[in-house]
Amino acid sequence: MARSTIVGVAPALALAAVLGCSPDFDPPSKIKALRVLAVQKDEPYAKPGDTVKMSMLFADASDEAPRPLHIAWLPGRQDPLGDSYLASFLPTADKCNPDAPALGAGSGGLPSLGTAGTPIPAELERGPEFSLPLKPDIISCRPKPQDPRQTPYGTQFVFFVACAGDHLGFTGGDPTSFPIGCYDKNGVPLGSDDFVAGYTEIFAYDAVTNQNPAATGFKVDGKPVTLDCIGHDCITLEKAELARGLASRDGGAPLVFSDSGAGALQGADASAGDAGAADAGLGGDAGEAARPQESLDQPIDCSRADPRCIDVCTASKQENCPKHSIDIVVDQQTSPEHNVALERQEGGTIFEQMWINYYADQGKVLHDVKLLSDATLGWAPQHSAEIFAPMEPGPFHVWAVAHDNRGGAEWVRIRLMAR
Amino acid sequence: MKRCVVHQTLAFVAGLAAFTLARAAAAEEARDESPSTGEGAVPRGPGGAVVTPPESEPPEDKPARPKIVMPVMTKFVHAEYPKEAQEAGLQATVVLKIDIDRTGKVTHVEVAEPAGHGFDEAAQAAAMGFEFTPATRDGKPIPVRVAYPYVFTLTEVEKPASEKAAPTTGNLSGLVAMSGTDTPLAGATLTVTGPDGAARTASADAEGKWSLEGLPPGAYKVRVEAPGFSPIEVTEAVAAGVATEVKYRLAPEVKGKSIEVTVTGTRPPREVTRRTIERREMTRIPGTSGDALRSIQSLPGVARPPGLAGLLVVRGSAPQDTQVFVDGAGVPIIYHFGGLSSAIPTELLDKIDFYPGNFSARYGQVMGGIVDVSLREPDTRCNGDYGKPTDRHGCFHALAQADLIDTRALVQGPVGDWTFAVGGRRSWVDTWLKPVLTAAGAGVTTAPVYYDYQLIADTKPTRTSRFSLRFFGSDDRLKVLISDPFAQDPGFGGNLTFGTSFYRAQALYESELSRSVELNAMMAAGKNAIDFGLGPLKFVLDTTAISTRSELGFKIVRGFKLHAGMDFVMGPYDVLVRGPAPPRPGEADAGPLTTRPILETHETGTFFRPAWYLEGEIQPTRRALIVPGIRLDYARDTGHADWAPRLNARYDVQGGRAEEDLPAEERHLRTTIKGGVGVFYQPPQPQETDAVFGTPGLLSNRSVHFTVGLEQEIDRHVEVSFEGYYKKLSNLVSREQALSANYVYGNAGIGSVYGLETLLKYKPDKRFFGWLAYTLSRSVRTDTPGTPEHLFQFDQTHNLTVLGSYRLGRGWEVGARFRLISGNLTTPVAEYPNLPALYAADAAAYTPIQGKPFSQRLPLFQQLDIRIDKGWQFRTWRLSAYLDVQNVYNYASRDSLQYNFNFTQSQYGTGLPIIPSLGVRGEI
Repeated sequence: MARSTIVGVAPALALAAVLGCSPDFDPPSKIKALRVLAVQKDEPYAKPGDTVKMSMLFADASDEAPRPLHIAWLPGRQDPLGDSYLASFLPTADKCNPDAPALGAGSGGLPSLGTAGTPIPAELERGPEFSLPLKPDIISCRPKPQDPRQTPYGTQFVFFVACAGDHLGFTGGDPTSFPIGCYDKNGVPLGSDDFVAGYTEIFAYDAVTNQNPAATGFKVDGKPVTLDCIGHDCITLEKAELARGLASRDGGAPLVFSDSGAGALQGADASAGDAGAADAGLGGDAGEAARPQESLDQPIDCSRADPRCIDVCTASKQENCPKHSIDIVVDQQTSPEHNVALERQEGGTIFEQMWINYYADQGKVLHDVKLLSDATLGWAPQHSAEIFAPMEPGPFHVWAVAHDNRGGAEWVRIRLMAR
Repeated sequence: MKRCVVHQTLAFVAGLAAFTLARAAAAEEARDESPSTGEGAVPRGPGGAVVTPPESEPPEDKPARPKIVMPVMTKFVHAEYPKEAQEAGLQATVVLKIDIDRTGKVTHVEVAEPAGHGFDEAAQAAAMGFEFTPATRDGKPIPVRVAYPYVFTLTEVEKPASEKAAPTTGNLSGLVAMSGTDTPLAGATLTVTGPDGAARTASADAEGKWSLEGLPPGAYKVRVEAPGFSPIEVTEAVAAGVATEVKYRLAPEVKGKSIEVTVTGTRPPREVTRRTIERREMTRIPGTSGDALRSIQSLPGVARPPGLAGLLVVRGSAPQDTQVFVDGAGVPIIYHFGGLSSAIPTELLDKIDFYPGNFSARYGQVMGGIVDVSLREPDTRCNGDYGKPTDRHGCFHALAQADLIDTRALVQGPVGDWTFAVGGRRSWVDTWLKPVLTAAGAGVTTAPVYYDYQLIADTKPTRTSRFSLRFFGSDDRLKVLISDPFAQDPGFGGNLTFGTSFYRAQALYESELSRSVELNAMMAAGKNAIDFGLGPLKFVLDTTAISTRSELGFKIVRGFKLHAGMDFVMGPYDVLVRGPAPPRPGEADAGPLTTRPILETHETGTFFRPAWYLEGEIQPTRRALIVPGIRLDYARDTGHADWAPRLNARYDVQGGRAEEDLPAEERHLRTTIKGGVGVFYQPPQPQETDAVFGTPGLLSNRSVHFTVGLEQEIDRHVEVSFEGYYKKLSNLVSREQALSANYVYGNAGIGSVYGLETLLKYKPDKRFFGWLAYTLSRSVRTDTPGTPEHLFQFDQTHNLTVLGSYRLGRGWEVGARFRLISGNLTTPVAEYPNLPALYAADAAAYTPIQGKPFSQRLPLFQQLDIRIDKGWQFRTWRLSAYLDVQNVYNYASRDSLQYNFNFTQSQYGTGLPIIPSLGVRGEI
């Protein structure tokens, strides 16, 4: 970073960050449409040649939900120029990509992968889970680091799209356009409420590893609550819920994920939702995390003292509604990990930077991004957020995703009831 | 610096010169005791102008010039002291313009610089009764207009004898002036021999004043000498407990049949454009809270930086392309916390010279502009009761000031042959900002706080030299735990530490080694430290900086002066950088920091950047000045040397130096045309050549500056100037694709900047100063070959600033500044039907898909600032207060384009709201 830039801009940036000079937009925590919340890799730091399994946490709170989803995955080149996602589809061959195909006319910006409007090949649609084998030379094909203290690594971006429209198709050669679009039955492109495109990055190291954060429970107003799901179980649960919803709406088992590739889910497995999530109780940082214990088909019984039951807001403004503390429970014994690659260079102790994103499909979350671990200070014990009670009665969902800055992620989902 | 002061008072010189030529013979009285008692108006000339006989110049070298004999006053009329002013204890100086006809009669008197309170009318009436000998040109009487400062002073009432201690010694002090005038003779030597035979010496200062204290009673023989003037010898009686004030007038030595007088003014600048902000202006520009360095942003060619960033964007160049010096020594920061206030307080500044382009060969290693800040000489002038100026020096001054941002203190005074100033400042933002930050959810360990400190010690080893020692520094600290990271990039969260500090010990030596050789030398040593950390990001720099800048000026022959100089910066450094690689020029947003690979470099070494230069000043006529120069820079970190030839020139079409000898009425208003062309190099930024973050072996960025301009005096106070400029940029550090399957830096970037600057300026007088500055410009870049040209990030097409400040009297002064500036540039995101952003899942944040870089301009910026000052003069101290209100009508300027989390909605981010700032200052 240029010294003058740091000196000139950093203080202003810091004050802006602290004082939160944000305009009056809906916060990212408010789920109102189709959203991808996170992607989890079973190995955030993989080894060359490993196969990395990815799973996508999504939510659709659109008025039209439940609706069919098309989810596709698209690996980019390994070790793209500048380690930039923008160079993931360059058509030229190099040492790390000796057989790079000519993908289209993209030059400088995003590439063209096919003729505009053409549906993408069916094999790209693989549902919310995807596996990618890394090449054995993902590290060795790169130039060695200039600084010998720097740990060699390799990287690969994997792109994904989630579309609540009729089909996915190529967008053509516009360099400012993502190469895949989402279209309705009439071929009209759909916008961001119905279509999410993004990427995740896989790092490969020979010896450095990273584990996903270990979420173990959730508290509301300081009390442990029953979870809907944790981690990969939420993928199974959400697939099942979507299938059930479509089935009840359309009267039959729909093709939820029109996936002909590996891991295809043909039709709904409605029973999966009843299973909830994993069963083993894991100790959280408070040692009192709760696990799913009930059928998600059943409403929350608010006749008992269940902290998930909160009073509906009767105020005229959301900001005047009662607030409730929400707090993911993360295992402090395993988080944060040491950032070994950096520690090797500088010495001393450098932790992972970790944070939590809270989301809700009703109410309003305050402090929706919370620090969980600082690189130098370590664990941040106070990482709860607050949620304003909804103004409409009924059940709603809250998600919490714990991230680390080395590609790790873990999540939980709970239900709350505004009564 | 002295010469500049002289220049400012050039108008006075025109009038004062009226009293300088005649009376060369012994007819003039040699001694004139000033009245010691009673009340009344006393004629007294201001200091500053130096009139010297040019005996060093051989007559045959001089161009033929008319022989002017100015009028000599033969009758002085005392003005009646205004009663109300007398009762209020007010004193004043009224500058008059007196028209004298061919017979020596006063035909018209005009008040040039009023003082109010009845002084103007009284002075005008008295001056109408003055009588003069006629002025002549080559022996023929001519009408003239002269400036005359009519000084009204009150004489102190003698204290009762009972209050006085029984003194045993007396004082002898006074003034040395040219005969027939009050023009002071700076540097005149007085040798005072007492009854015991012991000799003491004194030297007249710039105002011709001198004093000797603690003299035993008795008769003293006083010999007064000055080069080019006939010495005089008189005898004075010194009595115990009596301060004897005397005034001596020396007559110029007559050589041949005529007397020739040269008025020393300011040498024309070696640069095409030099903009100087003087003390009167720098403390009163509205919207700056009296902060001198922030006033630079009101000058032509300086863009308005975005938001709070304290960046100097000069003539379409990047902020790092402009260097700031303090008397020639580079400093790493000029603003606390990136723009809150200057790192060097205004009270210690003498002036600010700003060179927006085509600067002299004495500056290098940047291709934008130069800001050279001069620290002032400590002030030891003595004031009488109610702030009345006196002739004496050797007094202490103290100042304390507090406003909403900081508090400061300054003490100045004499110690033996030295004068000193010591000052310090501490912000107290932390006392009110800490609760605000805490309430916002931040864990505040160290609230924002800054300090700065300064020590100046000056002496004059000889009459023509100055030696100054300085020690100054600055320290900014901030430590906050951001527990709510940025939703759009959670990497911006966690433990934020920010600290910058520097200090410099500096020695400055200026001397006229002989009448044809000048030496200016500066040496500075100190430390720079930057400590920035945010979560996993880190930047720690520790540098010991040693710099020197020396220049010898040789008068080779008449009309040709050669400057030879060198400067270098060197010192060990230790730098640790941990973070993602910064985007290279032209590179699109690479996504949230959180998801990008973190690199780290820890380097130690010694940087060394020496430079040598030669620059000539060729004056083929008094109207022309041509300044060719060449500079050689070497940077050990890049291993490259750069030759930079430069050529500047200016020509007075009319008026100016060639007509300085003429009476004011016969001089033309100055019209000057000027131009320059030069090559400027700037080494790459350190991170660009770093082995981890950049590419070693890069060449310097290169820029060729072209400037043409016109300066036109409209009257004595008003001048307009136009400067058109073009800068051709090449070798700009850029992004290139290497065979090693990665991006590297290269030197393939190009660009250009062109524009027109207009400045209509009313020069400061006792009542008013102000200017209108308008800049029209366009700055473009092509980052890499084959990519489209785009507007430079800080391009601003139109930049209009109008400001002024007026003294109303009775201690009141009001000022206003209005700015109307093109909006900032921003890079738009893709629009429907394209997706505007991609979801970077590992960061849980969206990254925009950007359109053409900097292709969207935000709406026009406008802002009105006002400033009101009020001073109260008490018997021994002065209290002043100011109210500085930025953005008076609370205009919501649209300073940025802000997006929602997935870039589907946008709205303007507004700039600063109305900000009032109140300050109070006490001075003793």
